[in-house]
Amino acid sequence: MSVAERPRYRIGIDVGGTFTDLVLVSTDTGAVVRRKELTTPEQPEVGIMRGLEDLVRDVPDALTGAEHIIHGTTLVINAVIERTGPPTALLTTRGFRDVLELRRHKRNEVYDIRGDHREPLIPRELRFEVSARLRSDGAELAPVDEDEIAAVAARLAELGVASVAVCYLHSYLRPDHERATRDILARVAPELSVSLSSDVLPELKEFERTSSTAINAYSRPLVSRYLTSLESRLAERGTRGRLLLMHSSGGVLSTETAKAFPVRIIESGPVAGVLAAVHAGRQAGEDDVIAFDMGGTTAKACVVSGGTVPMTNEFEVARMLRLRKGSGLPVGVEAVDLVEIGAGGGSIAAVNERGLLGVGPRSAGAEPGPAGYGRGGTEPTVTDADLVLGFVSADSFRRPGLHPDAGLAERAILARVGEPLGLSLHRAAFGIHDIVNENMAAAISSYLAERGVDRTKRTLVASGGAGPVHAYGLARKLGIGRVIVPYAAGLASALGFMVAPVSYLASRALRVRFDAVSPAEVFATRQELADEVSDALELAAPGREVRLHAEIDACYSGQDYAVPLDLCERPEELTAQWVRQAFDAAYSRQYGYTYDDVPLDLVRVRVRGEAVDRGVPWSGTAAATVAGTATTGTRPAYDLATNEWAEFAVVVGDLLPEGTTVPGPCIIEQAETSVVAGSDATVVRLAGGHFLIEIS
Amino acid sequence: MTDEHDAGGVAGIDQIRLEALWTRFLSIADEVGYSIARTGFSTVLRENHDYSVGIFDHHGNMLAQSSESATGHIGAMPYLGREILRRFGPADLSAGDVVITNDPWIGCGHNNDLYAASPIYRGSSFVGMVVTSAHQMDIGGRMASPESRTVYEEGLLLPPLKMYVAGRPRKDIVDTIALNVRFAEKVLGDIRAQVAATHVGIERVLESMDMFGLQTLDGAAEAIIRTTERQMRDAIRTLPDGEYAGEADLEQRDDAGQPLRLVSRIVVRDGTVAIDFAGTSPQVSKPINCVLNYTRAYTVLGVKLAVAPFLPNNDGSYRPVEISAPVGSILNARYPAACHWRHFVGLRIPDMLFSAFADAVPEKVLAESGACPVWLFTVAGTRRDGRPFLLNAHAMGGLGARPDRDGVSAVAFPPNVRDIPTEVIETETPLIVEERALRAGSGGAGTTRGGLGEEFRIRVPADGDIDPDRPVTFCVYPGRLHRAPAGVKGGEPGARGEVLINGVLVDGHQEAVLSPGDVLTYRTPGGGGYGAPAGRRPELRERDVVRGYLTAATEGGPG
Repeated sequence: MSVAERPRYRIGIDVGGTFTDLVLVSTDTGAVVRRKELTTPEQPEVGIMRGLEDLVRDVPDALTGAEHIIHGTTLVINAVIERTGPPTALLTTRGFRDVLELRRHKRNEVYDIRGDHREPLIPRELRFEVSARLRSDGAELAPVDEDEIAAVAARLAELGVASVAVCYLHSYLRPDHERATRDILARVAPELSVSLSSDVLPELKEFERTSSTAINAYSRPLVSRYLTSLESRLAERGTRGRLLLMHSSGGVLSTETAKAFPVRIIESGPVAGVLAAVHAGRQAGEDDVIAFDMGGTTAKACVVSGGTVPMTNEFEVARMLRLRKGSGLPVGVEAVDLVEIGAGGGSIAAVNERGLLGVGPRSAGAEPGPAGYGRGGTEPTVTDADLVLGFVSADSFRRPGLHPDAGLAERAILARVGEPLGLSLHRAAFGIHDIVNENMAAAISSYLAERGVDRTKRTLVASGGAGPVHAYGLARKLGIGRVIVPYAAGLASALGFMVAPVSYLASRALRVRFDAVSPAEVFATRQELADEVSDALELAAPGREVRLHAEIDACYSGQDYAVPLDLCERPEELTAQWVRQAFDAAYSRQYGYTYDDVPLDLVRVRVRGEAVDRGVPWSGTAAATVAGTATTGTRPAYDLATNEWAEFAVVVGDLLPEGTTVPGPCIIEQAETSVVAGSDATVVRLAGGHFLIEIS
Repeated sequence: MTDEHDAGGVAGIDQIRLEALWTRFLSIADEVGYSIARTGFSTVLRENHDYSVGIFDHHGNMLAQSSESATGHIGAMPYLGREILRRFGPADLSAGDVVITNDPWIGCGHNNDLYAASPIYRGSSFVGMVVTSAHQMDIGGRMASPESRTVYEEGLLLPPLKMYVAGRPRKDIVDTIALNVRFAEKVLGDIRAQVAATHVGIERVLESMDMFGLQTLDGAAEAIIRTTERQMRDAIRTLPDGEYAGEADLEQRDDAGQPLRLVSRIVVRDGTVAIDFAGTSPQVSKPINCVLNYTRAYTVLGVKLAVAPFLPNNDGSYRPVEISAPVGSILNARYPAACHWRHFVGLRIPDMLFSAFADAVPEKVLAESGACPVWLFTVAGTRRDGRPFLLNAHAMGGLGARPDRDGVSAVAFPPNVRDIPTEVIETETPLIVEERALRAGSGGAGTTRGGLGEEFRIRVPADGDIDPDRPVTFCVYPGRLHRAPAGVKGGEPGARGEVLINGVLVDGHQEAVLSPGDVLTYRTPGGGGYGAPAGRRPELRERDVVRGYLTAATEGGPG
């Protein structure tokens, strides 16, 4: 057991739809070992253990010597999208059982009369009303009726319901009724899993709060069962390090917390990708970046300032096809604030409703995939266009079951867009590449402008299978001159886990005029939240030093959108003047103006905590020491700088020594993607294995 | 080898570049819209999203609108843009100016809907405008009273005038508004949000012009508008050429005591639609008259919903549609007709067009919808400390059944506005919402079922923060109280709407004074069914029973 005395590794496990990525990083050297295993959707822990056994073959003490095993899972989001959760019930205020179904009255598209809303996670027959009722100021209109709750519990038992969401009006201000309900249920139905809205999302607005609580209740039995099973398998293999779960706001938390609040881990994949981008940026000396990921179906972008990842409370899952705001299921729980665009390698090109060449949001997905994959797809995709333009080679996606064929891509493009629109093959392919870039540029520009960010001063960090292929064209459209492609861009998520801190967040909504605020009360709330955060951190990282950060959200009285302010240190500093100054600075940064004559409201108090961690920076340089000639030759490809075809140098990325500069036009081939740069750019291999595209 | 140019360009812009430009302008319009929602002060903007955004070239042609747009506002905007530029030539405007107006005959027929237009200057040349519109929570006058007989009673009227000169607000105008409206702080805050949003738009348009190397917006506008017009014509060609007739009974009487009705004769020919409303009732002394712009908005909308739902809306979608309505009719009312509740009439137009097209193109229409018209309502009163409170909200009926699926329940249609959450209503007013639920049994039976209406119950609490000595007034102009939304192709009608006070049915078209303890109930109409009820799939019927969508009465029969 001597090897297990001192933990030497961290292991990251990212379970995706097709593959389970495993990454082991040595905490001593930063050296990385990677594994890819087929995902076993029915029981993901089977695929994980298979991958871990494979790791153990190379690194015998991988499991016994692991300090942490950090896991990101799409289990929650998949359960919500595919509706694989068990029957779940809702207990709510009398008169309001249809909140989940009425939504907000709004249709998804102004002119579309054919669209439907997502079905509620909890069907109408499992939504129960009770008589407990509060007023908006927290005063009680009707008390909790124990017999009534017990009768509902009996009915739930008959119906075989194992999990229930409790969401009463105004409970975000006063949770007593929900807590009393939980206590009654614990007595009469101890097996029942109970999720309170005042715990899951203590925020104003019943639809959003009920939706978030329903997602929590719905996914809870699945997540509990899965994590318990995974933990016991790991224990059987002698793992002593803790299993930690990636959560939606950029950190990791304990399995205990994940089992109680699975809604907090719903968006773990994209978040880890952003963290990996932050890390790559930092290694390259850039703290102000735009993390950009382009996969098969969607692209995502996130703006990072000073290394800080932005957060939102308006996150939604399972949006409808065009990804319109408001078309999904709201998850008010804090998540990384990113923009999602219906643009990926699989996005289908077609003549659109405007009679022009349109790309997306429909996607060919993994099945049949792009026409050029040779799996029966006949609709042209972005990847097909990239193939025709020479940016990717058919060989690069040769995998079991795929029969890549550039001819199929050409035929699909000509038949579906070239001929109907009178475009040559090359013009049509250019159009597809250009328009998908424009779709992303337009959405990213809006996202950045809404957040008051000057994009021209940013560096783009591009990952995902299609990200490095499109980053150069996208950057040109955005007026950005620098693009970093991180080491192992295709494994961004699993690597991001390595730098995710153990973190937790707690908040409490208030809504009071600042002039009526008692500083002592704010600081008392701050203390209660700090205790809650410390407890959660202790579960995930026992004995570790904890760093806390308190914020208050403020808004102009009457407005709805609040801006966060760092809370001052002591109650006596919390004066009207302090608040006004801090608010004006934050508001004008975002909106460019302030109102002197409008009073301010305090909306919520929030405490974030992090367990201090030295972090494990991985390094890609170890992999780049293989001898060989990097440059393999040239091939013709389309140069976006001159709008002409040119001979591009083709380089094997892993063989390119650190510090080498490759002048454009060039293509750097990587394991799962290609870095493309036109004649107005150069590519440099950086320390850490990253690539930097500089556009002049 | 140089790449060849493609065929099919419009106005000198090749089609790939056109798609890129177009996407960019639509995205900018959306961004301006989100800015309004984020910086607005009233629940009308924050929650309802009752606003719209248009981007114009320097001729006043609208080339893009926000995807979240109040359909009445945006439908009138192409006409408004040109009218503003008729009154203020480039010589009268400079950078930083903002022209506002709420003239119902220039805008969309409703004093509350205020437009703000900001010119875009590229260097010293005037290249276009960004226009925003927003429903103001109050505009003075008798508020939303159904008793108003002329527009004078409906509040402040502002012809197009400069509220900002070179970036600075005119104090006289601000003071005029403040003196005329209730909740002046919120109203002025909302106008400021509207104005600030136009500046977001200007910055972004200019930046995009740089990026695309455009000196003016003319070429882009022309290409976008001509392409839209071409697509709209092609879409209209999917309607068989010929003559169609539509009629709607408005359940009200005109000043001479005759039933109030809409009459239309529709001629479809070679990609154009000409709609003549001759025979429609005269304007009335009730506040339900539509100005021509409003009629245009909902007529074009009706055509577009049927044939081209995803084609972006701009000047081009209007060109193939010719609309005429007799001057002095309820669809082309003359000043100073009262018009606050004009949606009670105008929102029936799309339904009427669907019914007219139902036989020829059944696959393109819906059954009649309970949401046409939307039940906009207000409850206003005074708190114990003398401050007023106002709830300005909507209740929604069910969408008509669709050819291949049930109608959506309690959904905004045709305007796409959001509700105000109950928790927000109860936080911002002393009212108590007792129920908001699907109205079982209200969807019209059919092969596909009409969407359900909703039951919305509000109590004026006896022990709340309400001055018992001052009246609490309640106004609504509900539709479909007598004539149920009809089904098509053998589908049955949806349930009629009902308004009750303390459980007693009342005539919904009068201002009512409520006392503490009173309970107000709306039951909005359900959508009509589509196809014979006997054709409904048994598993759908069973699901409806399990979910409680039907009542004992409606469970019995097929449906």
